[in-house]
Amino acid sequence: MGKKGFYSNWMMYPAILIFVVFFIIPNISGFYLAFTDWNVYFIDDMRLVGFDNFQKLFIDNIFWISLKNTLFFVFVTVMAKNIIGFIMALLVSKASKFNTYLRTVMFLPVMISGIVISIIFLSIYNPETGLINTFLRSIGLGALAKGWLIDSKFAMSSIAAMEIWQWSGFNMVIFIAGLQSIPHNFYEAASIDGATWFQKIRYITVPLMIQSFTMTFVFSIISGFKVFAQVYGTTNGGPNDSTQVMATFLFRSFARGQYGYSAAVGIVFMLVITLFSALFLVFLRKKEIEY
Amino acid sequence: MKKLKMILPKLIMFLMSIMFIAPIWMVAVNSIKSKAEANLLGMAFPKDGIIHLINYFKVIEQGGILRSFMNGLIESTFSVVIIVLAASSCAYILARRKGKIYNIIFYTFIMGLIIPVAFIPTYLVLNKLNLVNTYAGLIFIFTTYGLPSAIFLYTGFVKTIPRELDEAALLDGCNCFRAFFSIILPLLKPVTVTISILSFIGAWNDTQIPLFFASGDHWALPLSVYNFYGAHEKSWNLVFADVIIIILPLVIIYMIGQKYIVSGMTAGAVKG
Repeated sequence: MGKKGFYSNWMMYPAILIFVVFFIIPNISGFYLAFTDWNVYFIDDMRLVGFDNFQKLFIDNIFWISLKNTLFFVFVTVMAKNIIGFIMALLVSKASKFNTYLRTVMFLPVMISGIVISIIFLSIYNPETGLINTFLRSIGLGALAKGWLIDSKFAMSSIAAMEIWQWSGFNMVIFIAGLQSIPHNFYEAASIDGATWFQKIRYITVPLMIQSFTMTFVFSIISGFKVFAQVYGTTNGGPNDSTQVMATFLFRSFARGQYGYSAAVGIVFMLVITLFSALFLVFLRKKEIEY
Repeated sequence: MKKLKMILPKLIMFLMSIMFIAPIWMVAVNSIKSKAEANLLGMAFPKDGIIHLINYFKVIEQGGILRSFMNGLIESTFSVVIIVLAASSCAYILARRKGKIYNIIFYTFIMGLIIPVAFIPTYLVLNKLNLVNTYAGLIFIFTTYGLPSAIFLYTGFVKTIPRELDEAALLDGCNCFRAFFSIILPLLKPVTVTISILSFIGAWNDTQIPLFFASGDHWALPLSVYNFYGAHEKSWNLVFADVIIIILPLVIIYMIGQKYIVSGMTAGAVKG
């Protein structure tokens, strides 16, 4: 059959048109805007200013703080979400009514917008009457009660904990799908050879689930770098810029009307995310095995 | 000993599930208390024995709930319709035709999954098209960032549908458009449901896109809680009632569509 004639390229054009106008053109023109002084006061009058924006960015102390905070957030949440999600998956992967209940409950927070979660956690982290400090005091650990979001030493970790609480269930669901795809006879063979539970996890489960790990790692890395609502809704970068992350830093300069400068921030932001995700993707893809 | 080994994991999991439920319970129970009692953020039922449903009426009256709800409904529904139609037809061609150019197009779309929204230049484009702070502008941006995952899922699914169906349609005198809309698209129904739910939730829950490209009168429910909290910081009973109203539609979608949500999120995570 005349395949070339049958499959009409016209069917791709609506999607391509939208994508070109609202994704490709903005991303390419970002490279131009980053070299201009475009701002809200002279919105129709932008001039090229060379590397000025980047120079200003790299000597901005808060930019480096936000980069450091973002990397900290990515590292902590990626590790915790994957480890906790994996353990949860191991514990609830068998089909039973109780496990179905557990899965449903643990996945539920994923459905809620980050900004709503932030508002809920503002009350949970409340220093006087919040759930966490009340609980600590009730078991006699009142000394550990903190101003979780107010104390600049703990604010970033508290926001990370919130993200871990919300998204571990997502990784769990992906791991459960991965676990269920491993042929059962692998474990039976290992049992005959006298492998312990831990050895089975180490030498069968983990290697055969690399594809799931690739996905959860890349997802968590990308969403970690893009973190915004969780910070915006709780501390909005404070106290003293101690929780400033890349996305809130970008929004701050946008809200101040420094569009050219913000475009430069956006470019650096995009390069950091793309570089890290690509590195991990290549690294983990190599570890995948056929069976 | 053996019994302990059986029960211990279950006990751990039960305690863990409490960690996930406790915050939601705290929100729910305090949303029906008086202001003074709710501000103590306790876990118990209201001490005065009264269910203060008036909190909910107050929120509906003051919070502009209906407006935000309609905003979200308009923006999410239109985005979903455009995503489903544009992505499925595009994926059909991408899955069927071979050649370098189709690979390049496919991977360009996939890049949209990784690269963050280029807020500033997108703002410029919307500004030039007079779409800043409009429903159409938001719908186009939600659509743009919903397309990549939809095309990824659709392309994978179309590949599992035999080409013989296309050939049969051709013999019956159908052109490509008719073959797609009357034969292929109905077969894509399971993945269409998944994509619809995921894109709907994605647009509904997004924080940054409405914040950058529109003002409060175009925000959906989740972002409206931020303004509401700002105005009622000292009344947790009202804030929590607002939160419950906001998460209720999503909990309902979740309960109905759980199977589809999970299947969409795990696609690509296992060897197929």
